[in-house]
Amino acid sequence: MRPSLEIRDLHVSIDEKEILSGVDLSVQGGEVHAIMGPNGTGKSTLASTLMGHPRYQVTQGEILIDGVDITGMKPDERARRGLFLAMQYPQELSGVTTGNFLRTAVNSLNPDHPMPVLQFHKLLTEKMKLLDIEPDFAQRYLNEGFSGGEKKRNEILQLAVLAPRLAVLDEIDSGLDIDAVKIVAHGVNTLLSENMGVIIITHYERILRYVKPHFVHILIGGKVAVSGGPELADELEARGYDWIKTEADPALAE
Amino acid sequence: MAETLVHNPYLTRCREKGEPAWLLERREDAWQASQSLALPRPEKTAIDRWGLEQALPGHAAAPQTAVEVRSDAGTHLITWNGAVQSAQIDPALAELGVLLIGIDQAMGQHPELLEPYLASHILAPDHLLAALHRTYLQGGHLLYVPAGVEIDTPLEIISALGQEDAYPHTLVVLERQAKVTLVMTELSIGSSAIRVNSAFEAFLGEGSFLRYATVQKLGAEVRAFQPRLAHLARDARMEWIVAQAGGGRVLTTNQTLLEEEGASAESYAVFLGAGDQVLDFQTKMNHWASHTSSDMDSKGVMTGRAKAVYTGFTEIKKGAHGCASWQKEKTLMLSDECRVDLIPALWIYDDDVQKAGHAAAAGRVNPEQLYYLMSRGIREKDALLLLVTGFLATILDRIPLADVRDAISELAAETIAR
Ligand SMILES: Nc1ncnc2c1ncn2[C@@H]1O[C@H](COP(=O)(O)OP(=O)(O)OP(=O)(O)O)[C@@H](O)[C@H]1O
Ligand SMILES: [Mg+2]
Repeated sequence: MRPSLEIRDLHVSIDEKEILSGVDLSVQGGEVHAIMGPNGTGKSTLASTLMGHPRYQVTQGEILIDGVDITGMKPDERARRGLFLAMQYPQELSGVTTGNFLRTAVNSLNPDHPMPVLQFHKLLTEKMKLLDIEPDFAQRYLNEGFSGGEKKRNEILQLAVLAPRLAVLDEIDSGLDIDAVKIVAHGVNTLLSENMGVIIITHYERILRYVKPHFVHILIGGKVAVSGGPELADELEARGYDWIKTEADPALAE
Repeated sequence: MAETLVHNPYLTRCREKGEPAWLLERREDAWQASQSLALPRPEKTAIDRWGLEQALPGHAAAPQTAVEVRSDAGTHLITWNGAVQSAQIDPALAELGVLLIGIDQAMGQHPELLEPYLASHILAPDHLLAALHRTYLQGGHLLYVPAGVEIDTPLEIISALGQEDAYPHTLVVLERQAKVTLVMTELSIGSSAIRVNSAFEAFLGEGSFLRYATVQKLGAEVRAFQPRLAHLARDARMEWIVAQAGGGRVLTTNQTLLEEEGASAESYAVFLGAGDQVLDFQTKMNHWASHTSSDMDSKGVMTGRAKAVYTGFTEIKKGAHGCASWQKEKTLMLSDECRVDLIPALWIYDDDVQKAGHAAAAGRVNPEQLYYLMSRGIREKDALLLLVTGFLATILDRIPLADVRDAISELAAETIAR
């Protein structure tokens, strides 16, 4: 079945403060959606809420994966339904190697068919090659002492190994040099098919030159203010956000 | 001391068994001393209701069913309540004079080896439980390594306890320049509602090295007093690896006496607590001579309603110059109801100290890390286990024994699952 994500009238609060005030979005397998917007408008909040971070409270609306409401589910259950979030600020975990962590994850996603060690090793090596990652990476403790760029690459490595059905990439391009952006984009493009839908959260149209979005959404003030095709990203690059605030909702302008 | 001697039938039993006079005398002295001694008083753990002082050694009879305990080590000793079940020694080691035998066998065959050491030394200050151990010590293990003998492969002791109270004693004697690794596992079989007063005592001769790894995984109902003591001569080195996981009520001291110049000790300890376990865990490094050094690194993982008091104690005596000592203790608390007290204690009486210090921290699971792991599909229990593994890694990475590392990881997993 082609994956589908439906976000309907989503309202989210942190510590009683409303951050998202009615987000609607629909993503199908094979589609790439870009979400852009100024700092602090709730892009990461949306991503974290989709993944089920306990701090974010859904006060209204629903999130459906393949027609099933996941709003009350724990993060691991969502992941097992195919959701993946490449985080803006991945955690560091001393004492746990990236390889050990990933193998635990792979086997958690397919508890009935634990992957033999050798097969896992082969998969990991293949994906590391795809993303131009040094072999010793798997032996290093998870993100510990990683540079900003290495952490981002590790997120994409996880994406590649876990092969989710719906992937949300939160500022995966931030802090990457241009070569790294190309490698990451290549990785995403390789994985892209009817069987995976993608949301790319970004500030820069740079990555969108390599991973072509079918839709671009501008999030402002906790809502999708404008949606359009890829040309919207170029327009933002040229004109900034102010015009949207004026055109889309004069109330947001001041 | 009391004028009228209190008769103890156990001592009659020992006399009838034909124990050597010196041992009978030590038992008798300890027994008389016990009449006026009080229980130890750990600062934050009340042990008076544990009933440890009422423990009487049983008959160290072999269990009805064969003990299903096996060792893969070429040289090993397996005991049941202190009585030997099986023993094996690499002939090459036997040739060199290495002994790994039961205390009872040693009493018959090598009493002269035991006499300088067995039941002669005491934990200072003396207390009721220590005196009772010297009174009742029954069965156990002797490892003797002659001068200059270096043993590469680890030797193993498995001490199975159960069904009756027990007073096993483990004695390690390393002559000068001897080097050995000893792995000891304590476990219980059958009903574990028993009281254990087990002692470990090691004497390290000049320039010798002992790596002693002990994995205590007694049943949840065991109440235990478990002193472990090492005496280090000049330039001797001791490496403690202590995994304290079992027992419902446990008081344990792990003490290193750096008695002569140049002696050094390291201690890597893991303690685990779940359910209603209560653990009082003390690690002590006593610098009695100049240029001695010690390093303690302990980590605890607690869950359920378990309680642990950990004391890291460093003493540098006046006149012991140029000593170096460091201690670290850290705990990870997985539940809201568990409790941990970390007490670093530094008693430094000399002015010429090369280095001395401590770091203590009690922490909880970082919810952001837990979320990160779970976001990859990992179930909460498995995610916690990864976090615990990561937490323990700094200690596990220091343990050069894969079996012991695996045993600790397994015990950690069991602790979380409880
Ligand atoms: N854990 C939190 N606690 C308190 N406030 C938070 C928390 N997370 C986000 N916020 C607030 O919610 C708002 C939206 O933050 P969010 O991180 O979703 O923005 P963003 O669009 O991702 O911004 P950026 O482009 O800078 O990454 C901000 O005002 C932020 O301060
Ligand atoms: Mg953000």
